[in-house]
Amino acid sequence: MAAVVATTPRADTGSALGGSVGYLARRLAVALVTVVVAISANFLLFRAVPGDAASMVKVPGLSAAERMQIRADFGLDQPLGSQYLHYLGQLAHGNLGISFENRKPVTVNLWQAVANTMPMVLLGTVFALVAGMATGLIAAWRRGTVLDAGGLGAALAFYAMPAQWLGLMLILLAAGHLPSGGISDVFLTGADWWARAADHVRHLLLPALTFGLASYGQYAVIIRTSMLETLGEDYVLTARAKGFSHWSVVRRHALPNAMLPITTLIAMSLGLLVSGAILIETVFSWPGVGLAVYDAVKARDYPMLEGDFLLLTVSVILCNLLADLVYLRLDPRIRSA
Amino acid sequence: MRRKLLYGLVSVALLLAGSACTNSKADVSSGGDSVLRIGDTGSTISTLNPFLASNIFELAVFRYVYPYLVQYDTSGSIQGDFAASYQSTQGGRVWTFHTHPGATWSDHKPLTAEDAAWTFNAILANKDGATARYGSYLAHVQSVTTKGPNELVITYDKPVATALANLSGIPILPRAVWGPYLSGDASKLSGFTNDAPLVSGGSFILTSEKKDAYALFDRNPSFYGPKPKISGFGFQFFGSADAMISAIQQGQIDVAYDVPATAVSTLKKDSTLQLLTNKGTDEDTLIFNSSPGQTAHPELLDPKVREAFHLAIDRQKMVDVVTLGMGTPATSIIPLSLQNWADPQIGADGFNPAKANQILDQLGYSRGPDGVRVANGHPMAYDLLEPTGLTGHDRVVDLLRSDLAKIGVEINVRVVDGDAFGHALVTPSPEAPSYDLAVDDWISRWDPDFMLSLNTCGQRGNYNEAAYCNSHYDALYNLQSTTLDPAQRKQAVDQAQEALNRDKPWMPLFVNPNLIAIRKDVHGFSGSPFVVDTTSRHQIDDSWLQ
Amino acid sequence: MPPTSSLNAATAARRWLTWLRQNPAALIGGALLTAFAVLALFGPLLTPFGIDQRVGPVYGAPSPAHPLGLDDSGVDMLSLLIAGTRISMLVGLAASMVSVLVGGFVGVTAGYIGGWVDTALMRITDYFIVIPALPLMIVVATVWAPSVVHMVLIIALLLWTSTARLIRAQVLALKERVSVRRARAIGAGHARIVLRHIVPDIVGLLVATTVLAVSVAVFFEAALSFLGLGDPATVSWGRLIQIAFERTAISSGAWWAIIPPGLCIALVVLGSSLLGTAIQHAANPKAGIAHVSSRTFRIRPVPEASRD
Repeated sequence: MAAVVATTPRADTGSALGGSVGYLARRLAVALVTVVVAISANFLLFRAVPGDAASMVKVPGLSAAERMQIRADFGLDQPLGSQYLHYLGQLAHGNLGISFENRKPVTVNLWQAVANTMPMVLLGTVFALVAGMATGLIAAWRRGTVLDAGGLGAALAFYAMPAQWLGLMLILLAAGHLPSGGISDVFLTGADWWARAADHVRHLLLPALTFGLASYGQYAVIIRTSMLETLGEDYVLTARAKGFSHWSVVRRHALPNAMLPITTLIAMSLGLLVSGAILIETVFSWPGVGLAVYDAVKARDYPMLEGDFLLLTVSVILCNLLADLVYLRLDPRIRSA
Repeated sequence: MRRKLLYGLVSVALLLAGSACTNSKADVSSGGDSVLRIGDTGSTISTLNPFLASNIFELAVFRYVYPYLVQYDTSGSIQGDFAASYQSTQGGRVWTFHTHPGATWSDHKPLTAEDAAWTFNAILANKDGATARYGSYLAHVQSVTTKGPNELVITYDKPVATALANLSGIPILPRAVWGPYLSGDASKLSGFTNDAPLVSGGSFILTSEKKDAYALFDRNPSFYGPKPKISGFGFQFFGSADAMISAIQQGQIDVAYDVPATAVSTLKKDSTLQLLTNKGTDEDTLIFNSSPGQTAHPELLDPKVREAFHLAIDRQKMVDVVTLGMGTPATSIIPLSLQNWADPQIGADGFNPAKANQILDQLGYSRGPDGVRVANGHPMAYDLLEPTGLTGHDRVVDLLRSDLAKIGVEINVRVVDGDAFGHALVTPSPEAPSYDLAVDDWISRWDPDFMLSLNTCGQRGNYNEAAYCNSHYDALYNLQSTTLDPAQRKQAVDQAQEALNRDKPWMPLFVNPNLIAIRKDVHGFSGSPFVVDTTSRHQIDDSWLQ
Repeated sequence: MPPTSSLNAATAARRWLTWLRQNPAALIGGALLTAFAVLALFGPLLTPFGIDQRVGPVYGAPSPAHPLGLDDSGVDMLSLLIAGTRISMLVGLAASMVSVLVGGFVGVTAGYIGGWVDTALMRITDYFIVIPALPLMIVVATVWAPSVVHMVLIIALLLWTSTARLIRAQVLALKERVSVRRARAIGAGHARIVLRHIVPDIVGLLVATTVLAVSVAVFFEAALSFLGLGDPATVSWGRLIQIAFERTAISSGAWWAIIPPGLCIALVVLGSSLLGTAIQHAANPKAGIAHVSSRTFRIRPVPEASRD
């Protein structure tokens, strides 16, 4: 169901040689082609923009000769074709180049940004899952009641709010009780491990909560929809008829089935989540991947941008592939197709 | 956020007694664990290599960790630093500096005049190449030599009025660290990141630093000068002004630089805070393409048309709206905060839209049916380049547009980011770019030389954003830079300002105030017209917490 | 023959009303969108104060004369909010229409022609699907001078992919229909087949996608403006939030400068996703529900589990 897979008609999935192998092979091939397209397109994209490492604002007071020297240092004076080949060669060795901006390896900068983004996105996703599951389950259970309408309405309303605005609202509400920006109190150097950990968590709460609130709506809707569908199916009705309690039917049959779309949704979203967090990172001055992209654009830092986009596109592709695998594992209909 | 690129650093060649003594205000025993926590917004430290640095906070780091021969005091006069005393001979051609004996770097290697000579000679060796960043500070230098470990002699090929001002901007680097990068053609220099912790010779040691987040410093026990009163300090960089303000209100930081004007009334209500409101040096200007490349709208080259623009702009309203009344209207390129050099008479003919309209009427540029005047067969509609990343600039541009609309001139704003902005100003060529108008802001130094240099022919393709080139003006600029007598130099500076006011390659609009919030338990913290004072160590060295 | 042309207007209107009455979600969504559309069209006539007109102190609090208070330069917030409605709605509607036109064209072309054209178009679509949308928009918006037109194009650039995929799937199915086969058999031209037999059947889906895409486009407009990439010469909801954020509205306690524009965005997004989903249900109950995922900024078909 991953976006890449989604609407391919099921008809062309079943081949003579067992659906799963062919299905997987096709997905892998598509993913590989997409990676190659992405690498090339990303490379070209950042060569098409005006300005570069030696541009005026970045390094003031340089003569034309010095600018040429800087361009030569970064290989920008080479023809596009050989720059591309060089880039591919370096990429094959896992070398993403040196940042124009701070002259450190792109991988080091990227790693730092990812390490900052991950805790926020993961904790936010956990918030979203918990809230989404609760809302979805209750709404499905009490279908048609005020509880259903209210819970789902709230979920949709939060989902409709711009994340940056939601973040600002939380800052307004927290009004001084929680830090409104940054990843930690940088002046806590003398404090012990516990104090620093507590400080990190305090800084993490608002952005993660924003993330969770802004995205739990989609989980709520999906849980509710698939719960309702499963609850209507024959075997569930049979189980009910056999005298199983309502909750145990939900737990044993409906919930596991609802996990299928949820799991694929999570896997699919993960890649996009990281870049979607950019607004929240801006509000909370959170030095993550999103802000890294934004800063790199402003500095015309091609190597950083190429690295950022490579990371983001490849992780989306991988997550989609993962979603396919999960799907294959969980849904017997595909295996036997 | 205001762009923190360093357009300005330091200067003034005023004489002064060269005692390196700081005025210790009180004998405060430094608390064992007193760390001064400073916040700023929209700024960052992206490199610790002085040859690549362009950000004011990067320069602030160098100011605290590296020795400088001389520095400014808090009133804008030069005083000795690593050079305990100095004098000039042979009519200002030869300068002799007596450096602090027995000084050491933080790695305990000796710090002597030899280090200074080595650094300066290394810069001179590649002054048109890798070390160009500092090469211009050593313009006209013939030789740099030492006499023993504590005496440095710099010889110029002619007297230079800005010699000390320039020297106050060059950090002295530890040879042990920089030797490999500054030798030969210094081709490896740009790849050196100079990561923390640095070997320090200044009043503090940079212990750790993280891009976009912070820089932390400990007091340097082996500093040659008066020891700072605090045990350490740090810069924390906030992504938004709101976050910084809530941090200072909650006591997470002690000082907030660069406070936006909109936050002032909130901060004034807070009894734990004090607000330093200094006249700034950060001046917003409207820039006219003054080059022969301006062929699409020749009327913009006409001084009369520029005079009409000048009269049409309500500068006081800009000050009121953009800086909430805390800035100052500006009509000269030298901001009023440089009291010794500014001339309030320049461009003082003020706001007069009626007269502006009259000028344009007399030129025969009558209004078309849409109210926009027609000049040379084209409507007087111009593109205005606006670089992103300058808070308040949107408001400046809004006001410019509505003011100029009243004299029948239409402004179409093109917002571009800093890089594309720089690119547009030199396209198709640095000598003859083709843009119409632009806005930008520039931070002056203590010495007027820097601001005056911006419109010289030699700066085209570099700082000279108007691509203005006038040999008469260049001559006036050179006159002031080689006139040693202060009164005579002031005269030359006035003439240069007057010449710029006539041609108006840049039309000054207003000067942003420098607003700093500090907690009341911080003492001895001096204000400065600069966002962060990169011209001396006093701001932090002289502070204490109580 | 297009199904709607055989009905007279009154019948159509009655059907719509019945449908709306049976779909409270569609009713709410439609009402919200209509309200904002009216405000966008006629708002500037109602604006009480000029948007350049300083009428009081910086961040003046709400008062009877200024129910939403004043902004960072003392301008009436209500007037700004109304002025912002026009740009935000315009960008939302224009971007979604451009994206649906492009996506519809790509989808029909790929689905109808098939073969290598299909493969090539779908690989391009794949790239646009995996590329991080907001970062790419930032790149394009940064290097491209900000203007309303550019904003529309940038958003449409990344919004067409889901339409393309949905339409392609639909066309693949329609192609095998008896009526289409018969038309082909009697030698009808491709253009005629597409226009007479395919397009009429996807109109409903196109309308639904357009309405759904409005919510995503409004979201993106707010996002890009918040990052300072909007047209500074215009007022939009996103820019109002950005200005309030940059000019310390929060620490000044000026909640009135932040809350209203965000609420407006939320209401429009909510309205268009409610209405769009309902139309899609009605237009094509078998196609599986599409749901808007504004956070990841993509319209995608709901998981297969909801299909049979």
